[in-house]
Amino acid sequence: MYDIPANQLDTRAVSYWKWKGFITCLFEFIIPLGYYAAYYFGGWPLWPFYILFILWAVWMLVRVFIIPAILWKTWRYDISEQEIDFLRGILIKKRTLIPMVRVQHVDTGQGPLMRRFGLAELSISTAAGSHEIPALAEETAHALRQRISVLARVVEEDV
Amino acid sequence: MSDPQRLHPAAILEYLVRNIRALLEMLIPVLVVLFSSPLQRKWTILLLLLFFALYISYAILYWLRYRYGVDDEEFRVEYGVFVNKNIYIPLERIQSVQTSAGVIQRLFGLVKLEVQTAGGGKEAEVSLPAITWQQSQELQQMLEASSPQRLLDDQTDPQYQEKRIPFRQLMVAASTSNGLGVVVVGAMALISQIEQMLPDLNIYEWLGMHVSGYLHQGPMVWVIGIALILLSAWVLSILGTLLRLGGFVLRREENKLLVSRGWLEKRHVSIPLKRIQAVKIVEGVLRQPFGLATVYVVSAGHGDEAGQDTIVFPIMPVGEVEAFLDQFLPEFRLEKELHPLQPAARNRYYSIFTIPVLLVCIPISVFYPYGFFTLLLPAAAWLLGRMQFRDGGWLIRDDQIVIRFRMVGRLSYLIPRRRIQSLELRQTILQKRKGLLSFKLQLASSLGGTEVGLNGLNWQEGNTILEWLYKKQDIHPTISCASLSSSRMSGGSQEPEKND
Repeated sequence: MYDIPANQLDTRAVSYWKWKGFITCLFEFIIPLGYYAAYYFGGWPLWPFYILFILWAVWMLVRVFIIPAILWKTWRYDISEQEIDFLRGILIKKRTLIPMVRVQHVDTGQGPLMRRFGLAELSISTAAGSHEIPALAEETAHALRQRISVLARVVEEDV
Repeated sequence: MSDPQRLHPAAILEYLVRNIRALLEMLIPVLVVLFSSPLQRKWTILLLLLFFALYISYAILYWLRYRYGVDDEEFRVEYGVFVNKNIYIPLERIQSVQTSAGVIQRLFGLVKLEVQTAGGGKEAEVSLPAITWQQSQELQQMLEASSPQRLLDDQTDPQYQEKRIPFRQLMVAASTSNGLGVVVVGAMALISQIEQMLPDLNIYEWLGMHVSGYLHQGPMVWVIGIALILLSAWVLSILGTLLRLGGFVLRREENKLLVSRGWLEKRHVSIPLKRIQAVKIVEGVLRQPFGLATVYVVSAGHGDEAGQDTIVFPIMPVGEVEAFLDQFLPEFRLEKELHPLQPAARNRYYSIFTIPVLLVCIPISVFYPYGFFTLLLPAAAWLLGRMQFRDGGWLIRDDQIVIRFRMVGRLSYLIPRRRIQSLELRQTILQKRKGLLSFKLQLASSLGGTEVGLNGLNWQEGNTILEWLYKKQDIHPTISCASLSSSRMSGGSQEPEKND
C-alpha cells in the first residue's frame, strides 16, 4: 500500500526489546510458579506444571530471540511537513497517517531501561488519542519532537 | 470576588437529595448493627436524629460557604465546609454553558447551570445546582460575553430555522427506541442479583409462579413470563424516552445549534458548529423497517449526556434527512450512491459471526434436549453478516467522506476531511492474500475519540483514501517548503513533490 515510509527505528531497539522481553518474562514466571504452589500446598497434579513451564520457556525464547528483530524490521515511519506516517505490525500490517494539522502535542518519554540504551519513545497526540514511535535514539526523538511541535504550531486550527 | 453570589436556598434540598443514596448506603450497615445490639431502641432513634441533624446542618453550611461570581476575567467558585476549595476558570477557556432543570429546580422555578471547559472529562467542570432564572441569564451574559446564549423557550423566533418533534413521531421514537435492550439487560441483571443474594427464594420459580399463576406447567410458563418481562421493559423504555426527548426543539443559529429537550428535566444544549466533528445517522434495527432514522452530531469537548453523541433530531423518515441537513447543517451532505465493499470480502462477512456461533451451538444441539433450537442462532449470525456486507459502503466527494456500515442498526457518518484526526489502514495476512484491507478514521468526540471504519476495500481504494487525506491538507500559506527542507531532520526524508 502506498510507498513504504523511509525511516527505521534505532538499531539499539532490538537489544532493548530483548531485555524488556526477558524482564517481562521473569515476571510472567509467576504463572508456572503459582501452579507449582498449588501442587505443593494444595495437592494438585504435577503434570500441568511441566506444560506451563515449557510454554513459558518457549514463549520466552520467542520473545527474546525472535520477536525483537522482526519487530524492528517491520517498523517504519516518516515525518514530513504535512503528515506523520507509520507502518508496523507482524501479522497485521498497520499503516497510520496523522495530518500535521491535527497534532495537538508531542512528548518524548524514557523509562530507566530505555535510558540505559540511549533510547526514547515519541508520543504524538491528537484530539482523538495518541500514537507512539516506540524506540528512537534519544537525539532523534528530541529533534523530532522539536520539529513536529514547530510544524504543528504553524498550522494552528480549532479542533 | 467583588460581587460574590450565593446559590438559591433550594440548593440545600438539592444537596440533600443528591447525596441521599450515598447516605443510605453508609447508614444501613450502621442501622443493622445498632438494631441488633442490646442498646435501647430509644437511644438508637436519638442517634439517628442526631445524625440527620448533622447531615442537614452540613448541607446548610455547604450552601452558606458556596459563593460564585465573575471577577477579573475569571469565573470563580469558592466552596467547601472543612477544606476551602477555589475554582477559577478564565473566561476565554469556557467552552459551553448549559442549563437544565430537574424536579427540585422546577418546584422552585430555578435552573441548574453547568460550565464546561475543553479537555474536561464527562462531568461538568463547575455545576451550580440551583440558581434563579434571572441569575442564570446574567451569568450567561457574562460568561459568553461575545455571543450570549439564548435558551429555547416556547416562543418561536422567526429569525432562525427551527424544528420541533410532533407527538406522534415522538411516540414512534419512544416505542422503537433501543433503550428496550438496556432495560431487559438491566432487569435480567437485577433478577440474577436477587438470586445470588437470596438463593433460597428461587427467584425464577417465584417469578414464574406469580407471573403466570402456575408453577410446574412446562415451557409455556417460561414463554409467558419472558413475554411479560419484555412487555414491561418495553413500557418502561417508552416512558424513559418520552421523559428524555419530550418537547424536543432544535434551532439553528449562525454559529451554533441549540437543542432543548426533556419533560421532567429540561435540558438545553448549545453546540458550536466549529466543534462538530461529524454527523451520524442511525437507522436502528427496529426503525429501519419503517424507514426512520435518528440524527446525531459527534462533537468535541462535550456530549449530550456523559460520553454520548448529541441527538440533534430524535426521529425522522430517512427520506427527509437530506432536506433536514440542508436546512440545519448545510455544511454536511448526504450521499445516496456509495461504493460497495469488495466482493472478495464477502466470505469474511458471512463467516465472521457464523463460525464462532456454530462452534458453540453444535455441541449444545447434540447434547441438550431441544438444543437444536440453538441452530437458529448461526442462521441469524449469517443473516447479520450478510446485511453488514451489503450495507457497508463509502464515498469521497470533495472534502467529505461518507462511511456507512452496520453494527446491528445501520450507521452513516458524514465526516469533513479536516476533522479526521488520523487514518489507519490495516491488513491481516488473510486479507493480504485477497488484496484487501480495512481502514479506520479517528475522530475527536466527547468520549475522547471515536473510530469509524470499514473492512473489505482493495488496496487501490485504500490508496485513494490515503491520498485524499494527504494531498490537499490545508497547510498555512506562509510556510515555505524551502525553509522546511533546510531544517529537515533524519525523520523527514520524504519528498513532498512525489505526491503530486
